[in-house]
Parts: sequence; C-alpha cells; structure tokens
Amino acid sequence: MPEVTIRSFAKLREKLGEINKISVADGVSVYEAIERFAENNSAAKEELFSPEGLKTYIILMFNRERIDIDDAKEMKISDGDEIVLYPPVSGG
Amino acid sequence: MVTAMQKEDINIAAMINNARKNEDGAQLVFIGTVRDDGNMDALEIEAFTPVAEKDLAEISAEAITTYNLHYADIVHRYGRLSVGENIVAIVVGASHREEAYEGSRFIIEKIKEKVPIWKQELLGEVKGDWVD
Repeated sequence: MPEVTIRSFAKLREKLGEINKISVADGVSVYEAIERFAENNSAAKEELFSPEGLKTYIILMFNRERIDIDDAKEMKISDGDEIVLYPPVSGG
Repeated sequence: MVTAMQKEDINIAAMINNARKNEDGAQLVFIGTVRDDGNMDALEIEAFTPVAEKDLAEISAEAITTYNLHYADIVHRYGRLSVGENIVAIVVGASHREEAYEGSRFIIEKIKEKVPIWKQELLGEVKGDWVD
C-alpha cells in the first residue's frame, strides 16, 4: 500500500501536526487520500472538511506543485508522495 | 538577481549598493517591518522555505519582464521578529520611476497573495492570532 506524507503549515499545523504519514490503497486519488486522513483524525475532519467537501480556502500542493480540488480528484497517489495543506498566506 | 529566505537581518545598504546600475534612473526600496498592533511584541514568521524561495525567484523574474526593471532583488525573513524589525526588503531599479513604483508594488502584492509565509502574533512566549 502506498504511503503518503501529509504536511501542514501555520494554523493547520497547530491543529493537525506538522507531518502525518498514512497508507492508502492502490489507485486512490490525492483527494481520497485526504478523505482517508480525515476519517481517522477528528481534528482533520473538522478543519479540512465541510458538508460540501474539502474547504475551498485550503491551499493544496502535491509534490511541491500547487493543485486545485479538481486536480486532486484526478491525480493518483504513488508511494512516497507528499501532500501539503495550508491556509491563506500572510507574508510581506 | 538576488532572492532569498533567511533568518538573519537584512543588510539593506548592501542590497542597494550591490544592485545599483548606471542605467538606473530610479532605484526604489520597499521595507516591510513588524508593526506594533498592540497586545504583541513580536511575530513568528513561518515559511515553507523551499517553495517560498522558488516563488520569490519567479516573482522577481516576472516583475523584471513585465515592468522592464533592471533588477528586482527580494529578501524575506522567517523566525521570531520583534516589533520594528525588518521582515522583507525589495530593491528594484528601472530607467524611470513609474516602472520602479509599479514593479515594486507588483512584487509585494504577489508575495502577500501567493508565497507560503505566515505570521503569528506573540506576546512573550504566548502565541496569539495568526495574521490574515
């Protein structure tokens, strides 16, 4: 089963922890991997999901490239992949 | 082109002197600093550093092309920064002031929109709100 790293920053890091590793079934999408993570983590479920799905303000990266929710539903997980979740930025 | 994420303070005088070109008719410096918003004495600046460094380089390159700048140097800090400290310095040079102003403004707005950097208010060791 592929193992994926889920890394979080800022407010999400405080709630979810900086790094989580989960194993998922072969063939699952990035979006489904985040759903699996939330199924087993109540803080993740509360922070990441609304009844409509993944909260739209959350920014996603997959292997260091920004992706949107539609991409996340298409892209498949391979062993060693990294998903990054973070809230809107505030630099400068 | 100089772009960097760093913990240590920014040597802004060196940035200015190193960047200056004879073709410059305008050299513009923007410095973002830690503002005292009350009930805080510092900010913790968190960054996804490898991505932030890549983003700063891309923003600099885009600004140079779009606004016909001679250079667009950007240094952003992370870690704990006290009130009054430098957060970010942007030094741009152009033949004319219009390009320099517009290019500098473009860069800081892009940083605020895109680059994975966050600020959390601190009062002593007590963590406060995340800055929107």
